[in-house]
Amino acid sequence: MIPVPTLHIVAILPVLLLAVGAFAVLLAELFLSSRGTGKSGAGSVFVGVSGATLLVVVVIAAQGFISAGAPAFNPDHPMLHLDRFSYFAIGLVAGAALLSCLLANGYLQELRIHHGEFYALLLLSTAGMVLLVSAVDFLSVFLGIELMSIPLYVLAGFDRGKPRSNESALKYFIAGSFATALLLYGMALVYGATGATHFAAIAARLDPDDSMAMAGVALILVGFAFKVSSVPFHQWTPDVYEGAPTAVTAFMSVTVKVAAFVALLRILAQAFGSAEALGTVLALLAALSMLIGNLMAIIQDNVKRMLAWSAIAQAGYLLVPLSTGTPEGQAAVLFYLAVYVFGNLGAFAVMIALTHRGQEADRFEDFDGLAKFRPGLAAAMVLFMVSLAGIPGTAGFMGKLQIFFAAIRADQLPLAILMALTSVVSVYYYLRLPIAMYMRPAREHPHRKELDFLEFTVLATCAIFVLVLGLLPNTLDWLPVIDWTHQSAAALASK
Amino acid sequence: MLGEFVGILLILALALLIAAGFLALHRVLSPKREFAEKQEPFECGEAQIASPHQRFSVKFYLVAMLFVLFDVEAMFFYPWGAIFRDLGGYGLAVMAVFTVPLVLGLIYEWKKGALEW
Repeated sequence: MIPVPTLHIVAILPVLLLAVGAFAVLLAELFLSSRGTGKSGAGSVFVGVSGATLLVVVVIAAQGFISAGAPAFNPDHPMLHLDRFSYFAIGLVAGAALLSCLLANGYLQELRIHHGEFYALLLLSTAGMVLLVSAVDFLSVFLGIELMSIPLYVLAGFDRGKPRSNESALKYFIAGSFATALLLYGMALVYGATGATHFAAIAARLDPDDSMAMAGVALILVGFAFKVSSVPFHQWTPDVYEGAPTAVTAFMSVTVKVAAFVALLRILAQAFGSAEALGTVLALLAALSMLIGNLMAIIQDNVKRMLAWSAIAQAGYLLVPLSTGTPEGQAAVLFYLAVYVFGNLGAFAVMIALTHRGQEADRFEDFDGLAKFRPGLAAAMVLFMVSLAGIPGTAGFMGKLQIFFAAIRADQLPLAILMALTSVVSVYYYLRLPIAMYMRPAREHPHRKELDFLEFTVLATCAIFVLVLGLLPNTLDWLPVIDWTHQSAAALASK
Repeated sequence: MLGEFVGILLILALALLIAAGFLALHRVLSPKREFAEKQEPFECGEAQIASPHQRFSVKFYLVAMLFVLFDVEAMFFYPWGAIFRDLGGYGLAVMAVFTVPLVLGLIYEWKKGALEW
């Protein structure tokens, strides 16, 4: 009799749900479009199914977080570990995916690429992210990364009639596969040096003086640096962000960052704890990303490219607390990720709301004088830009404050100062949009007049979170986000 | 640690040496009588009558892709079939989990018209 492996349904429940949801959407696409049902009717089914699935996953994550995580599965050889840290990340990823999926409905209809496959791919990619953030073994890390990335390559080329979109997909695919190959090579070297793929076993056997193990660690780091688009592994980012449909850019710019950073946090804390040289390397990556990201963002003339370079700079900010390796730094990473999700998704939501008849609003001229026509949208955009720049009163400021303190307490004063200086530079380009909207003469605006309900919901959610995280990050009893991040970081240390 | 790799390095060096050696021998020893036919890429067989760079339907790609997809997945059935009895009900359930998405995929491509030529 062959020994039967045990399955832990609790461990894979979120992934399972997302996969089932993806299949349901695919089948709905088949049968609804063949019967010639109106596209808007089919659209509400897609959004309904995928939105409900993601909402259930968010609820599961919240429930799991409240009950302090699930017990360890398969103690001999665990692949996934669902502690508070994982559940916090799952909630964040699924929440961001939910908001992106609500945004997509109107946008895809405007672009006439409204197919159910979009939602199926989005759900599958989210399933990969959920795997990635709860992985405690390099095999499940790899599985998660692939399941996250492959649907994203397809999504980047979703507007398949447009050469730009195709170019974006191809570039993303090639750069991404390259990164995955490096990552895999790194895992193989680490396995060769330690004989293990499980984090705890690697941590016990990793020798910081073994050059083969350290080469593996470096390659793994490079793979993740690609995924989070940190300088000098960032070249693909602006082209991919610009070419992909805005709804896809919105989704991948926030969720991939959350998933990859969370996985990196866990790997650094639980597997590579003994490799102390990593702190210096990460600090160097952080400094380069902040400098180059912020300087290049200044000279962009396309809003999506500007946001892409800003995403690179934001990756630099996130690497600052990551390089400290302290629980406080880890909590700061988690908090800043939450801040980034809402600020960045909000900015993309405004661009999506302005898309009209296949015409994307992605040049600075498209925003000239917008405040006259769409005062609400313009005000929301100002809020998101101000938050991304980190001006007091918004979430971005609170996030940067956490990073700043974490860096100073860990004796990373130069990095903290560099972050403050580059943030000042970033104000210049983040305020270009508000200036265009409020001070330039209005051009003739072809934009459609009304927000649809889903877009309004997303914009309102993002705006509320940006304000709440900025003004009362820890005072609301039911939303003590800073406490949550500290509890998550504590779970990371206790394994 | 490097000691383990000495053997591999030796094999690499030997392989290079043999390859280079035979090429050099050929250079030195072979008679050189060149004429037009000898310069053709393929000395034997029919003379080329058309360019091999022809367009062909993109549908081939689709069929090839679907074939690879289902062929590789079908491969998974063989080891399962060999120990089907030993695995019992668990094996059947797990195979169902594997097969159902596969069948859904088949329905999907069928309805989408990917199987029509």
